[in-house]
Amino acid sequence: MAAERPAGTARGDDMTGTGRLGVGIGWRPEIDLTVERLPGVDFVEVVAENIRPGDLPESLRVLRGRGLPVIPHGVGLGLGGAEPPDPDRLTHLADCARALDAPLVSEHLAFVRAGGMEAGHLLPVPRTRAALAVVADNVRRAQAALPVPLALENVAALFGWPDDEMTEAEFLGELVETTGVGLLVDVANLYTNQINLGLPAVGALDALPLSELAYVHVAGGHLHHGVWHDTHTARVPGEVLEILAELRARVDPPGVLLEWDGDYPGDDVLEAELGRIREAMARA
Amino acid sequence: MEEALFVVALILLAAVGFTASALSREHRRARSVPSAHPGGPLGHYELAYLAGGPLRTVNTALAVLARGGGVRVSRGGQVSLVTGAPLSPDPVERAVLAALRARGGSCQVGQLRHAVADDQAMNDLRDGLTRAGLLIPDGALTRARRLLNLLLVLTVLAVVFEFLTFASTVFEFLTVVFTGSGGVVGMVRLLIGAFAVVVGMTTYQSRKRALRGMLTDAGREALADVGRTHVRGVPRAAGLPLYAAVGIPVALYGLAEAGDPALTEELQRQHANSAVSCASGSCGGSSGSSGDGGSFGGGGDFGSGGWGDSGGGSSCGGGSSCGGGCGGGGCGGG
Repeated sequence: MAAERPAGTARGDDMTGTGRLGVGIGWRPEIDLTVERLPGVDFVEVVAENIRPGDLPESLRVLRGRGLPVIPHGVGLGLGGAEPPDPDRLTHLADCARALDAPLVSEHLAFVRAGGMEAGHLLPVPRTRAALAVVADNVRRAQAALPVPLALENVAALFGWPDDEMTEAEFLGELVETTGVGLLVDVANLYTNQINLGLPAVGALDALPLSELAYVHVAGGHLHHGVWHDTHTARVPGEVLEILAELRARVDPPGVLLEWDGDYPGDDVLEAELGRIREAMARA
Repeated sequence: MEEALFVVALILLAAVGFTASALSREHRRARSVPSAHPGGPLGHYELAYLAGGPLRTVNTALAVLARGGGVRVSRGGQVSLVTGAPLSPDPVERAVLAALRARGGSCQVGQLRHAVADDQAMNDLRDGLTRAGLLIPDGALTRARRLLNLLLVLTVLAVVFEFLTFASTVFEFLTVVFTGSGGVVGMVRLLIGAFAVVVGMTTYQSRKRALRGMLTDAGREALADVGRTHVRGVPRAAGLPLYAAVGIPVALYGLAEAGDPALTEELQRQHANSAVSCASGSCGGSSGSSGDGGSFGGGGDFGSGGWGDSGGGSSCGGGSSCGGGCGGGGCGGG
């Protein structure tokens, strides 16, 4: 554990110090009214790149007016890249956090661009000591620029780098220890890596620094020709909920959030999915 | 000369009166198509068509589908397909869903409204109502419209006549006042001409509005019957089927009766951007009206004229982007 946390990092109480979040759902403009009306939504997350802090969507203002925490979730900062995070993107993320009065912001442990070329995907970081030092520096820069704690999410990797020296869990553990960054565990991504790369999800849970857990992502996907596609467009498979229950057996997560990003089903289905998440949490 | 002008005034008045009378008779004849309606209650989409034309019908379908989970409405008036929603057996609802599918699953409500209003399902609905004697057939008002145009010409002639003879009439009037001699033929002529103008203008205005109405007497009566049992603004009893709780109220009175103010606001939003005067949802003829305007005589929902235009929407197509640098699927979660 880091002995001294830099500005903008998690504080001591309640894991990352961001308070209890409960069960939430990813806010998307297509389902804004649905999210506003779904019973039992305790918090939401919004893709930071899709909003303007000075002109927040009316729906988010409504939710904030009700006191629901809204977490800006970045997808384009690229903290896993070799270059420092773009100041403009950091400013945007910070402005989102302020505009939403967010308890924290979250991003991915991934690189998304290099040499000015956008990858279009959340790509895995080369998990070497040298890369760790670079990523840790990027994270510290981000923490310094953000007014609230930062949490990093494990990604669903399309591949692994041949010279990796650590597992993602070990890499995240080191990163948490050196920077004090919070942890956003996506159990669907753990499941994806288990199916596609043969990396045991439960083993990853054992290695992750769950004491710094900020919240959890849960999502569904599709199996196609033996490859799991983490599409966020289907019901959460039982196996992912099993991983959630395993996580719950190890730690009481401050929040669990359902991600659904397309092919939106009826309100009743989304409500039922939130119920399944609660049931999995109670199962452990 | 004075006598000749007097005769012209009389002829103008007679022509206006005769034309106005013929117009009323012709309109009445066109509306009094014998009803072939087999009886039984009209469906909510038939009622919607009678009450507000194609746009009211689309609005009714949107409200029913949205309240029933067949489509999703989001802020800004975006309408989207709901994955896994059951297929609808109704042609109008199927037209809404097909229009959404053709636009990538999502569309601004204004654009959707107009796309479905032009759908074959709407033509079939209109044809059925026409065969049932509830709508005036195409072409049945042609003669009435010709008479309306003739009335306008005669009224304009009467106005021109009054204008041209006004000076001499005033001169004649002043002569009578100051000399005590002279006749009052000019004054009478002026009054006759003015009467012709007033009759012509008022008749033209009222008939022009009435001729926009497409309902027969039987259609108006059928609509009024339903209106008497489904009163505007009355809370619907719990447990009613969707067509009764949402379909009929919206069909009769517009989107304000959808029973969900937020939904109403969003479904009206596109329209509110283009024609504020109809934002309350009261556009179009008031249903059940016994007035000459009849239903959807003043335009269907969100339209000007009977088949109006609420302005095309934009940004149809697939759902939102997940932001820069995010690949397909897995946005946010990686």
